[in-house]
This record gives sequence, structure tokens and C-alpha cells, in this order.
Amino acid sequence: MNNGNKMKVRHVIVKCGADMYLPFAIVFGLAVILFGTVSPGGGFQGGVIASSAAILLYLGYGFKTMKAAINPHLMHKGEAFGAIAYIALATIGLVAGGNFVRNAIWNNGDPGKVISAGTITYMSWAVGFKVLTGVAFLLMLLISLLGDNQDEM
Amino acid sequence: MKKVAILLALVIFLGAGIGAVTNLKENFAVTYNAQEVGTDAYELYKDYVSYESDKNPDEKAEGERNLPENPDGIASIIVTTDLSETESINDVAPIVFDYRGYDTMGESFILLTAIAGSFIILKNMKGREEEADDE
Repeated sequence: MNNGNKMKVRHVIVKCGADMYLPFAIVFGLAVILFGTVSPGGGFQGGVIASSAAILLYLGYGFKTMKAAINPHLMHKGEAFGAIAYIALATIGLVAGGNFVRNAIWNNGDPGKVISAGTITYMSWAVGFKVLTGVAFLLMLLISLLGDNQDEM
Repeated sequence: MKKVAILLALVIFLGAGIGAVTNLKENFAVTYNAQEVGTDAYELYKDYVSYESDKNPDEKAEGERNLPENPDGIASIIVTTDLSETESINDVAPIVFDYRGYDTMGESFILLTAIAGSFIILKNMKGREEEADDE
């Protein structure tokens, strides 16, 4: 697939703004997800920040480029995978003899490091992945209803 | 074949759960047990002035901050015993993912349900528009 034919440059200021802020949105969102256990923020907030890259891509390059860059079916499957991962990590507490969402492997790593606090870290990552893919899919779904003539602007 | 596999998985899961409950329960740190800690939530509710502060609001000087010297509420128990029970230095993360994990699960499944429902509705709407264009 040649993406060069699908690239349609819109207003140069909007395109430069999207180019400038898209890497920051992705990196900052992923950092908020990864350090959600030891810093302010968390999975939900970081997922929403990272999924704002999708709308920046639409503002800069239009819907066809956005659809070529992000696979919507993969996003939909990724959301289900995140939900299943959360349930599976919550079930570890049940198998280990506690409550359903009990922090089972709680004594791994040193307190304050990224990988510590047992399943809390992994559950935070699962929720972050789920929200990232889910909100990106929702934005693509809503933008696709605007019609293809939006690319002509 | 599929039913046999599901039944086998359920039996293995049940056996692992029963074994874990019988063997591991004594060595497992309880997240919050009000009877062991000795805090009665109903007593705190009746005497809510002493929940946040040691001082009576009528006796403190004007402009003085109402900081407790010996807080005894459930929040202070969570803050003081959080590190020894979950080893997380951020107190909010275990509240979101451990103490109130069901809440987070429901929250994220609301998002999943909303996105799946809007996907079904909007997909049908787009198909209907295309059918109308054909006619």
C-alpha cells in the first residue's frame, strides 16, 4: 500500500500544529500510563491523552490518512483484549485466596519503582491500553460519519 | 468436545481456588479489617467532629487550620497501612485498583458497552444512508 497517494495536506498551520503536538501526545500519554502507579495520573487519563493523537492526525491529514495509519478493527479487538486482561489479572487474587481484585503478587520489586505493587501496575496498564484503543476507535467511528467530502476542504 | 473442555477448565479452576483458599489464607495480608483495627464506622459517624480534628471547632482560634494531630478515621488507616499491605507508595493507585477494583471494572465496562453500542447503531445508520442513495 502506497501511503503517499493518500497523503492530502490541508492548511499548513494546522498541519504543522498537528506535526508538532502528535509525538508529545503519544509519548506523554504512554508515560502517564506506564508511571500510573507511582505518579499522579493513571491508566484512564493516560489512555485518553494518547488517543488524542488520532484526532490530531485527522486535523492535520484528513480521514483517509488517519484510516491508513490506524486500523479500526485492531483498535476494537485491542479494547476487548484490555478488558479480558483486567478480568484475568483480577482473577489472580481470587485464585491466590483473597478477594476478586485483591493485590495477589504484592511483594515484587522495591516500593517506588515502576514494577512494584504487584497486580496494581499491570491492571493500570490494562486499563490504559483499553481506554487508549477504545477512545481512538470511538473517535474514528464518529469522524467517519462526517463523510468523505471533508477531505476536500 | 467444547463442553468437555469448558467443564475441565472449570474443574481445574475450582480445584485451584479451593486449594488456595485452604492453604494460603492464613499467610495472606488482609487489606482492611475493621474488627482487627478497632475502628467502628458507626461511632465515627455519630461523633463526626472528632473524625478530622482533635479540637472542637468552637474552641479553636480564628484562622487556625483544622489539622488533626491523631487522626483515627478510615482514611488515615488506609494511608498509614497502605505501604505495608500493597507496597505502593502512591496511595491513590491501590484505592482505584485494589480497594475499589470493582468500581474501576464497572467504569471500564461502561466504556466498552458504550463504544460497542454506538458502533452497532452508527454502522447501521451509515448502511441505511447508502441504501437510500441507491434508491
